[in-house]
Amino acid sequence: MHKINQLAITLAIGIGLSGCYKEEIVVSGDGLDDWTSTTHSAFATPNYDIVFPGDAVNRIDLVIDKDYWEIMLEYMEDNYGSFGSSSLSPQDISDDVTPIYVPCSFFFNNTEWYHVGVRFKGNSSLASAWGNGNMKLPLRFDFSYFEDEYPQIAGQTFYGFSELSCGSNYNDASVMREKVTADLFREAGVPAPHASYYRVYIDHGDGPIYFGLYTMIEVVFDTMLDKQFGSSNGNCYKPEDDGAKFGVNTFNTADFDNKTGGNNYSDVEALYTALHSANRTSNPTQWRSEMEAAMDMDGFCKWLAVNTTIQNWDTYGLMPHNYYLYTDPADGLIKWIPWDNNEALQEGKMGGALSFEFNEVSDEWPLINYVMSDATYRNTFDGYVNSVISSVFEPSKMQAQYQTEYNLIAPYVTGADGEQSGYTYVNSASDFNNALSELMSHVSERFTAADQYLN
Amino acid sequence: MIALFACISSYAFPQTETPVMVRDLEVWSGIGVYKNFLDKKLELNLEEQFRFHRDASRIDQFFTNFGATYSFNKYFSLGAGYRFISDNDDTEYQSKHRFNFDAKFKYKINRVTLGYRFRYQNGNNFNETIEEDQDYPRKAIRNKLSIKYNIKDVKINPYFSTELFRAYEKYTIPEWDKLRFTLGGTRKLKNFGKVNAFYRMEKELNESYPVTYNIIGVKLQYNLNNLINKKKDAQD
Repeated sequence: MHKINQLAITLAIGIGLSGCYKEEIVVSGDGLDDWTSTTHSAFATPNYDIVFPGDAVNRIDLVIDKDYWEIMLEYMEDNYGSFGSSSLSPQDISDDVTPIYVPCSFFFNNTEWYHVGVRFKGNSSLASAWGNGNMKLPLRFDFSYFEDEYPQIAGQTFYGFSELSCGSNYNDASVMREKVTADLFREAGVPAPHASYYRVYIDHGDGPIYFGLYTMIEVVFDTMLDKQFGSSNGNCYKPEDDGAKFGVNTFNTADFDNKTGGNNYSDVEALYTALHSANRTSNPTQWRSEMEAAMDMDGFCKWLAVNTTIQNWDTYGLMPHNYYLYTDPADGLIKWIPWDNNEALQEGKMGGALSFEFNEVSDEWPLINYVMSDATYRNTFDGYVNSVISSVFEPSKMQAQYQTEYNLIAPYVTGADGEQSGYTYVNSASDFNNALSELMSHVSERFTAADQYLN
Repeated sequence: MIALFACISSYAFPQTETPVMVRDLEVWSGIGVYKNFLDKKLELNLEEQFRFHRDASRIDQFFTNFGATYSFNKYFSLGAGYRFISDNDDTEYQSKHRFNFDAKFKYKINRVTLGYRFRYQNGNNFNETIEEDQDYPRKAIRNKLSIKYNIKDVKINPYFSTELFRAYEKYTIPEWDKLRFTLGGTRKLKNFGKVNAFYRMEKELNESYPVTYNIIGVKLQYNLNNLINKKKDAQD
């Protein structure tokens, strides 16, 4: 018995000495052959030339384990209904539903990015496409999403980009609306994310399948803020639902998801207070002063001018979403950032895009109704409309640009290397060509409409 | 010179370094009561257990566990248990719960007892909804093999067991997620119950940096039948 006690004590001391807490330091990229500081690391400077080329179509290949692919589809079946036969609309889907991330191997230019998080994303572009049996679904990438499981990829980026949004060009037979519109906004001086065309191939167990020509879009709160504002520590909201209208009975900060963290809504509350101030009618000069203390009103008028001239119905004024608000620490003002532009450059749905007069816009949308009722802001708006049709959205310039974009992407939309049935929103080659013709006509029509409005 | 080079390198080639735990020492201590019914075919037990981690310096979790086991014969028994857990995530205690069902087989050859236990368990956070954090019930199937030896004229019965866990959770791929080896001894305490002390090595599986847990455990269990017998003796 004495020997057993001695053995137990010796064993306990041995375990205590040799089995205690231990950490290992894992250096990102350890054991990962393709990892380099400029392509993969958290310290890589965002390389816009490679990730968002203006004159090239990139190709990415995703390899997703068959089991993980089935999990992605299972989640969709559970929350969006049966593939190809669901009639659920985005309004039928709970706000809490966010498709799950799974790891994939992400290949670009024969280089691998490791355990990259990929998920489906979107509203109509996801729910409707799924219900209609179209597998060209929008995707979202988070390059370090699985860093807890794989610490060797901690801080992984794609040439300096931690996250990327991959739009499917839903319902866009021209396939170029998302990219062209983002370019247009930036060219006009409206802060907007970069976008580029990507051919997306996915191997989920049966070899690579061409999922179609996508548009890769910069994530606003990842790199865009630093790139275009020189900071990313201000509040960056993605308003959604009725609160996003800024209306008297609808404003609700719960609808303002702050992507940069924090729950101090004093900035958007100040904007709401200024917007609905009694000074608007009694003392417009004071009201404008209050508005301009809360928001970059010149920037807002510029965005509204571009958005209205090019026609973009799926955003503020008709739909309470598809914009970001960034409170820029440089001047403390809220800046307007457009988002999700695949429905732009057409008359559109919901009764059609807004007129230049905005007579149809009720006080349900006070940022347009109130602001455009003010003569000073209306004058600013008119000036920007004039500028837009004479420069960035001038017909001959745009028609040449549309043709260039068409020539760039045509081989990957139609023909031998083009999109495949079940993975496209382009019904035929003529459908694609007609979409180009419609864009060509549209820009001329908008020039005429703007000219008539201004004169 | 080396320090200077290291300093320059860290500026020229900055890198992300992540500390990853690969080993820990834990202490599990439990105290409980048990009582037999129906000619010892049914045993009910109640246990309170505290588990300490990070070199046994911090409470990892504590829980109350209620269990029942019914023995059909000397070979086969069925059991069930419910556990209410307070789990310390370093910022707050989260309430979790877990239930399990067991099927046990044992076979005695002279002084050696061979055993096999199949356990199904299902657990989740108590107050969180799936919508809030997409946290789905965690299920596991556990297979445990054991061997116990009754040494002649020695009061401590040593045992060794190994147990393999297979985890299931919605929207994840099922996987073998941990393996346990346990070396311990039980001793009956006259007019009290029993004490069980063990060393357990638990290793994570299918992880890029698996953690090895070294666990020292002690459980003291009081047999409530003793209390009843004492009362009877007093009445007699």
